[in-house]
Amino acid sequence: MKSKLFFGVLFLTSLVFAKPLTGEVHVKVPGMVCSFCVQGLTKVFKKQEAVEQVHVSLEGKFVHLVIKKDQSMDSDKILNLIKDAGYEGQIGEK
Amino acid sequence: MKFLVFAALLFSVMTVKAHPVIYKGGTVIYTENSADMNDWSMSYSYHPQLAVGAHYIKEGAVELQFVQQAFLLKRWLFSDSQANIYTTLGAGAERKKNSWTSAEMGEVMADWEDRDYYVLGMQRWIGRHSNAEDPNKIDLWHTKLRAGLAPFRSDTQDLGVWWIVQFDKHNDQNWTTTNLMRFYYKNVLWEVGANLNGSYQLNLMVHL
Repeated sequence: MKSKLFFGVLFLTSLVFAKPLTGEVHVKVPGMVCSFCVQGLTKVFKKQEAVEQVHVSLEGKFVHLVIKKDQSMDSDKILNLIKDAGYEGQIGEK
Repeated sequence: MKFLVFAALLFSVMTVKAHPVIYKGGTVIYTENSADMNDWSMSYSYHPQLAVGAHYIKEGAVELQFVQQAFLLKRWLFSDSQANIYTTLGAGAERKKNSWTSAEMGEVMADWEDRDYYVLGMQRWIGRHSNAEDPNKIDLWHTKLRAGLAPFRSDTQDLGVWWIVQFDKHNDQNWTTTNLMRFYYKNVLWEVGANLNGSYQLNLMVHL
């Protein structure tokens, strides 16, 4: 019973904090140092149906996404995709 | 002569040393070539910290073939640089003429890089097994140190250039020094160079 309650709370918490994002999303990605890094991030996001455009900047150390109209992406999903590329992201202002 | 072959073989194994583990779903193909050897490898990163691959080395009459598992043990991400520690374990076989024996490989690699400099250290061991045809095989040890410098910063759509100096030591041999120029464009990297004995080296790596 306790474990069910725990996982229930965890699930609800994830819904609260996994904010769906629309329009343009800016994610800081520290530690990006080479074009291979950029390629990995670009490939991971180009596979996402909701992503219209992706721009990865080596100089600025960020990923800039344009989400398709009438679609959204969870902030958690964006951060997990960046983890899949081997990095840690911080969603925020430019 | 045997030691020269072993040294050349080991030297051949380790020249392009980019990250053994890349982004999840990525594949790395690389080849290293000189007058004395060919080295081909392909690995697939099925997890951001894990990659599985196959490795083939031919040096004279000796061929080594491994399946290998690479691990990204730890990555530090700083604002403008990153540092990594990897380990790779391999199991396979050695063929010399028509004789096959088992072989193993273990490797630890650490690097630090930013957009201007990079340093790398690697230690590799290849375990070999003697047989009646070749009863005096010895394990192969290889230490590699690399330092690189980018004369200019390039953007992702530009050709990147690095100058690299590499130091290698095989078993009890003296250290050898190799100068290389690295070029890369988008997902393709190639290196050309020569050691101080004039032996050329030509390497290629592609990320898919």
